[in-house]
Amino acid sequence: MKRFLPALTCLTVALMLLPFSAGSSANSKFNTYPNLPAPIAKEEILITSAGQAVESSILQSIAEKLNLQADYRPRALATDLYEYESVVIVVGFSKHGLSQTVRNFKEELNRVKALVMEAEKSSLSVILVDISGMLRNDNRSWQLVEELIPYTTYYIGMKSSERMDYLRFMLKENKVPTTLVDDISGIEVPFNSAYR
Amino acid sequence: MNTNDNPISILGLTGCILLLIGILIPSIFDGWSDYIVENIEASIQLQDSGKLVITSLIFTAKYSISNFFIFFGAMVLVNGLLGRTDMFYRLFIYAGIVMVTIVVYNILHHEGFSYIGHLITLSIILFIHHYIPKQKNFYVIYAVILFSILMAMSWMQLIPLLSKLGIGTSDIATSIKIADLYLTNHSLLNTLAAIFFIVFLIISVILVFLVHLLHKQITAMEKIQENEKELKEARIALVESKVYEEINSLVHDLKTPLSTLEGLSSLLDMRYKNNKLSSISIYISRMEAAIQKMNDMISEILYEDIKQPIAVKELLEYVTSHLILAKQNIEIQLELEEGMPLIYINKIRFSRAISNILENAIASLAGSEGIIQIKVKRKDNSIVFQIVDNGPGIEMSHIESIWREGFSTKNSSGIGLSFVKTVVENHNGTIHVSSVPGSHTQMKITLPVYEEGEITNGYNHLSR
Repeated sequence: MKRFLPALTCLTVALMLLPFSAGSSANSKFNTYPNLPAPIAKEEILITSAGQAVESSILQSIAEKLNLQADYRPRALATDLYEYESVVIVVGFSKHGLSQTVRNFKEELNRVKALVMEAEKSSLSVILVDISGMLRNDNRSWQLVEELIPYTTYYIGMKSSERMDYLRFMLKENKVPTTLVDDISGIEVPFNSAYR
Repeated sequence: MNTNDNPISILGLTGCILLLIGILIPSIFDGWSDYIVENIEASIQLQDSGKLVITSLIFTAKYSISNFFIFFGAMVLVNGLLGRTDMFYRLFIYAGIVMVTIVVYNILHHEGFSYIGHLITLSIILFIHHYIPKQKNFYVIYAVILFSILMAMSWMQLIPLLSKLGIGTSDIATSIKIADLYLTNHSLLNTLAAIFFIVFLIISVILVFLVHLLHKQITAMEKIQENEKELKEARIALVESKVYEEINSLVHDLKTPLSTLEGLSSLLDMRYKNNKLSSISIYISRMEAAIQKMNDMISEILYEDIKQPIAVKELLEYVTSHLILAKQNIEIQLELEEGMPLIYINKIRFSRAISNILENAIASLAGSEGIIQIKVKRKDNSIVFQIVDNGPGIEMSHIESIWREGFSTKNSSGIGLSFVKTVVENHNGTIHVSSVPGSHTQMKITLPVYEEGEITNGYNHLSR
């Protein structure tokens, strides 16, 4: 039995780490819109990424499906806003995605903050979309959400998101209409309702 | 550091290099990650789940390879540094090195994965480690099994159901899972990754089982062969001991008629003592001397411990006079230093030993012309016998084996040189062989010099 002790030790450590790594959904009730009752944004849409995760391009695909006029420019700057009527920001920090740009995380944060501030100044709607749910639970993704919510017109996220209580608190505090969906394909209806 | 440490140092160095490669692989193959990310994006844009499958395959290959270098490098490093340490502590140290390297990897490349997957992988590897035989092909077997386990674990990273447990939380794995969520609502990866995970895990288990089974069979066969060899040796020893007993008994029986001859020759001597026919007295005294000599020889054969001081020249004359050179054109050159002291030996056995060496030298010439030099000189308190022949020499691979009983390259009994060594060592001497294949062979025997009065009782036992 002694000879299996190293293997059992590793397994025990893995099991001990489980409670820290395992995701948990909030139990508290959170009232959300299934979709918006009236449109809040106009085309032409700028879809950009906050954190440069590759899955941000899913929103472009959804926009195409819905026949919405949209450009996907993951590295768009505040100065690019002049030709758009609304901004859709897909949150998700990716180390690899960011390494493909010339920016570090702080510069990426500044870029998207400048973008939403400019949008606010130009009275453009900002739709914040978080499609990663529990899959991206890192602090940087949450920092991006935290920084962007005050400038958000409409939030679409996943029901399985981590730190749901904190998210609810922030959205409520900033009076942001919210829709939470079960899966990514469920984004189509609320996203469409924001424009039509 | 002595030379025995070198293989350990080389192993240790190799382990360090492998670990370093494992840590640096994402930097070395940076384009590989770009390719994976481009494919994820393309699969989203084209809504092509087939492309996502290919991307998943590339991802698992990449992570298996980088982890392989870390896990394998750590094993090589541990074996290199702690070759003979107890397995229990070695595995703990191995686990420590792997986890430290993975933490460094995670920090260096900002992968952001949790360590649960790696800890599970490590516990599986540590568990199966006990079933991989530590033999000459250990690293090959270990590498194959390790790679199979790592492939299973890489696929495990892509099972979306396990994300809730913190497994598969690295940047790219997350992107693949989100793309899969969009394209197939996780049904693709939950099925495919789970199947690949199970298949590779089963392959690993089967491999370990087969290797373990094969090792057990080989061990059992080796044990049987060893037992058979021991049995054979015991049988030979039994036969030899019977033959030896019979010879001893025969030689011993010779003493009875010899005593009769001795008695009768004494009677003859008494009878013809006053006879003036001197020739009869001379014959009788010669007969008595011959009987005495035969008596001594029998005693020397029967009792190994019986030794006598003898001149080197007398010994060599005795040996060479019994040599049969047949029709071979072999020249025997004797070189003796002047004023050589006596040596204290069992004449019959020591002569037999020298004869064996000379017979081997003659046999090595295989009928061709040759020279055998016998040089004897004094060196400090020793007498050195050098017997050199210009035969074909001994292969270097056989040099150590020639003293082993039963070893022969000529289908002979293989006991000749073993007997020589035993006899020399019984005389407190040493024997050394040196040979240059194609040139010569030299046997060097060193015996201690006999000091006058040093041993007094050896020859007294002859009358036994």
